[in-house]
Amino acid sequence: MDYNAKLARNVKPLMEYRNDAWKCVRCGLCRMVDAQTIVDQEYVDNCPAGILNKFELFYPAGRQELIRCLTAEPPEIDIDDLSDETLNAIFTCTGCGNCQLICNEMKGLEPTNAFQALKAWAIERYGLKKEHHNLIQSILNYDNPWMAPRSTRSRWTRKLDFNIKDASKEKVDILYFPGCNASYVPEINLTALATAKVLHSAGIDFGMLGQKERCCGSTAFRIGAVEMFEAYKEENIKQLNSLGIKTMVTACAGCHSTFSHNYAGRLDFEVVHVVEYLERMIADGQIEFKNDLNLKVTYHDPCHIGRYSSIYDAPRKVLEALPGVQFKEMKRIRENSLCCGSGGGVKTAYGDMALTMAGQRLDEARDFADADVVVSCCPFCEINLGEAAKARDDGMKVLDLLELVDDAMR
Amino acid sequence: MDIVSNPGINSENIEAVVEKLKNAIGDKWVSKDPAVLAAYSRDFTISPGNWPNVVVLPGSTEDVQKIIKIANENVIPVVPMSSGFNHGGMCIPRRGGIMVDLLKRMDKVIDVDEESMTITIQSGVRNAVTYAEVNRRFAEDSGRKLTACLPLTMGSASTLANYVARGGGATLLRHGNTPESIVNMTWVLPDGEVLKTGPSAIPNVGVIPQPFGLGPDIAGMLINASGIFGMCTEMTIKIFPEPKIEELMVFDLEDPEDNAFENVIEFVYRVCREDICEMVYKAHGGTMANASPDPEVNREDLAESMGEHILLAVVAGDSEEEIVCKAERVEKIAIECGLYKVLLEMFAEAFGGVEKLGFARGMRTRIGTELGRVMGGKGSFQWMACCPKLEKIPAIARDYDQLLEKYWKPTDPNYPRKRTMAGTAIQGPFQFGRMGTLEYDFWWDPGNVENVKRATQMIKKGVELDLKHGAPLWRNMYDHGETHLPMLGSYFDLLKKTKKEFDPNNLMHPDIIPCTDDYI
Ligand SMILES: Cc1cc2nc3c(=O)[nH]c(=O)nc-3n(C[C@H](O)[C@H](O)[C@H](O)COP(=O)(O)OP(=O)(O)OC[C@H]3O[C@@H](n4cnc5c(N)ncnc54)[C@H](O)[C@@H]3O)c2cc1C
Ligand code: SF4
Ligand code: SF4
Repeated sequence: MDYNAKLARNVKPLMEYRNDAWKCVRCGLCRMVDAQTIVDQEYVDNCPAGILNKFELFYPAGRQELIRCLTAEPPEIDIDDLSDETLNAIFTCTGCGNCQLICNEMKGLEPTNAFQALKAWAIERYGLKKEHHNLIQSILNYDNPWMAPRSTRSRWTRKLDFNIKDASKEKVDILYFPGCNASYVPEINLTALATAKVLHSAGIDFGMLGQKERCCGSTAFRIGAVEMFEAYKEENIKQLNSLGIKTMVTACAGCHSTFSHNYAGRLDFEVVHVVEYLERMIADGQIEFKNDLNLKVTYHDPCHIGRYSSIYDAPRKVLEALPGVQFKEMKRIRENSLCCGSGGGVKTAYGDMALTMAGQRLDEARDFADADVVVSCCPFCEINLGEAAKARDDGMKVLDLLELVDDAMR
Repeated sequence: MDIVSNPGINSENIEAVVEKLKNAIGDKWVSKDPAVLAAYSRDFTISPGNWPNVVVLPGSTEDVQKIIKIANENVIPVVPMSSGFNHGGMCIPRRGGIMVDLLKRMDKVIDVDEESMTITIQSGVRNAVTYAEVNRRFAEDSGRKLTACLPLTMGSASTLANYVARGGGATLLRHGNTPESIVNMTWVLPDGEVLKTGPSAIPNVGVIPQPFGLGPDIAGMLINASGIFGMCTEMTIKIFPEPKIEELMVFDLEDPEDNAFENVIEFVYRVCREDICEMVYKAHGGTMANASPDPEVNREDLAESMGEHILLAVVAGDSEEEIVCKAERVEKIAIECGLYKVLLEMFAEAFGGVEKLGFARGMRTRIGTELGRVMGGKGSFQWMACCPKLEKIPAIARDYDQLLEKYWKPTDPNYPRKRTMAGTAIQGPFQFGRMGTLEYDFWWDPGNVENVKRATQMIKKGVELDLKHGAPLWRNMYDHGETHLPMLGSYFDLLKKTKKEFDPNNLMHPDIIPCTDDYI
């Protein structure tokens, strides 16, 4: 069975979700974690948009009703005069995939994809949200959403004491694709550094695109700028396929998900997340750990390698292999992981909502898993969770798994 | 249906009401955004939808009181909704007004009291949560797990609403319908006053696991009333020790043609009479086929292979010996009734394993994706149910079959024949098996006009059929009240008088059941 529940695969125009919207029975199962796994009333709900806004409209069943009304003939809501509240409902979906994982297995619907189509529909009629404008312009102008020049994309590599091959000039089998967050966000540079160091220490022969690397387009797709994404993606396909690589390794859940699902069938190489690589290397004895970390750790499954790609075991196996790590799970994990609240353009347009969600996730890490460190494998989750951790100032740290691996190897 | 406006519903008054509501319970919890309203305008059934004028999310009993008081001051209807997942359009605001969402912010288990063996919940606590909170405890003396009385329904459905809507069914053989386990309730009445029922109505008594307080039981009037007498915000219900082990058995008919339904009934009656089963459920091949997780499976063939009658029985006990003894007895009765025991593994193959069948204890009391698949199939799922004497069931079911032949035409080529689209189930033989709940299911496509017409017709004809056989409706469904309630004679008159006394302006959920002279 396809456990990815067709997430982000073949997202169609809104009208094509009309019948699905009728078929939704409003059961509300998809707003929770899998009903069978609930053991405690504190950890039940799992739709970030609904958890923070509460009205039915913000939950998947309400969104389905909205799609039904908008696609009815004639529409049951004035489609030319949607209120700010309605648009907020549309754009607060983080695309976490919880609803689709539950519903697709049960009723065969694709709610997350439908809500993605809803965003695209809203952008077509109402334009981009102003908060998202800069992101898109930045991707178009600079190939990254951070308004940063191309020339600084690989500045972080200066801190390395070895050279990385330039994949645009030299043929390599393995391309390391750090992505925009790890390349440009100072705190997340550490992930890029750690990844490069770990790959290098393990004797992997790899290259990078450096300043020629372009955004994977994840941000554009997830905020609903689907048309722009589709055009941008074509350039990437041309560039990446021309390199002759066999494998693309990324440490970013968003890049991994985008290349795996949104580019599905178009790339001439396999795409792997670095944790899958690490798991193999540890099992084969290619990596040696020297340093005892002495940390109480829990793991936050990012939606984009979790629900979207079912990579659940690899990061856990890596964590368990690290010396001095006391690992304890949170309650909402794996398929039932709670989204950190930042995806789908929510962090940019609804920063408070993203931070509140991240705060709830950190509470779970502290109260349920008794952890000092929340580890993840997604720069975007780490930015959001990290900001929330900073704001609460209780000693909780947020780190990328690769940082721990790098530390343990030294 | 024509929508009748209430004097309080005009744009100016609504604006004023919205402001008052915001001041009373907080800006954030009041909305009249069209899309927000639309999300509360219809449900998954065939019932015609209608929009509320404003939606509120109370966080406490006091909030609910404030909302009702504002509604009274402004003569505007109030409609309670918990999960909104009833089978019959019973949360649709027929006359608009204030939609009160009792699920989202009132979702806490207040207490689990092992001393009195009760759990106290708010209106938004869902079955999966009730199950979890009770189940993590053990009855101290025996080391056994505890359970609440939870029907075979979605883990996402409100437990409290199920109790006030008179839930019941196959899993409750031992405990009776859900209202039988109610101890205390807190209601906000149509005038905004709080009513406590049960022993806790007496000051300083606390929780005593006695269903009724002092004096006559006027609390019964609030059950299955679809919110016309107010809103229940908290409830204390009984909890029970669970048997330690259980076993699922599946039976099919030796000869499906030979008095099939009579044989099924005989089996149900006898195992209930002997009190040896924890659950007895007659499903039909269609439900089971729709529940198969395999998207590639040919549901038609699967349904056909399972036939019209599949009997699921659960025996439970505290020791292996007890289980073996009960299972042997159940099988013997089955053989005497012309049934044979299906090898569970073979049956479960189509479902990806025995554990995926979804009838294990934890699964059946908090349906998740496994059993939720019965709502799959093409389009939506429609349900009707009546409570006939068991011996009447075969005749009703045969009439229902004819009804299907005549009116039902599935529109999806993947679900071609009636087998996968409709059938009957005996949901719950009541204690000792004289009565049962006969459920008729069909799957319909809400996006298809022709299909909608047929589904509407099916429901109308189904109600006529129930009445012809003298089988009362299990619980309220929109459109059924019209035919059923006036038949109650002086009881119906008393209902109308009581409604008038309690709610002179007819503000609590008007027109959802006929209980006023101006019912439309
Ligand atoms: C596939 C499926 C199988 C099911 N199987 C069963 C089964 O076996 N047994 C069973 O019992 N049920 C079954 N149900 C029904 C389901 O459990 C109902 O949804 C539930 O019992 C009613 O709860 P609700 O929250 O959905 O009620 P709602 O739809 O929210 O409300 C029902 C009625 O009660 C009123 N109401 C709601 N909350 C309150 C309140 N707090 N105070 C006063 N009035 C209120 C509403 O106005 C409405 O008239 C099944 C449903 C489905 C879809
Ligand atoms: S989207 Fe699917 S799971 Fe969610 S409410 Fe609708 S039918 Fe239920
Ligand atoms: S994708 Fe996630 S945030 Fe969006 S509606 Fe579904 S569960 Fe909610």
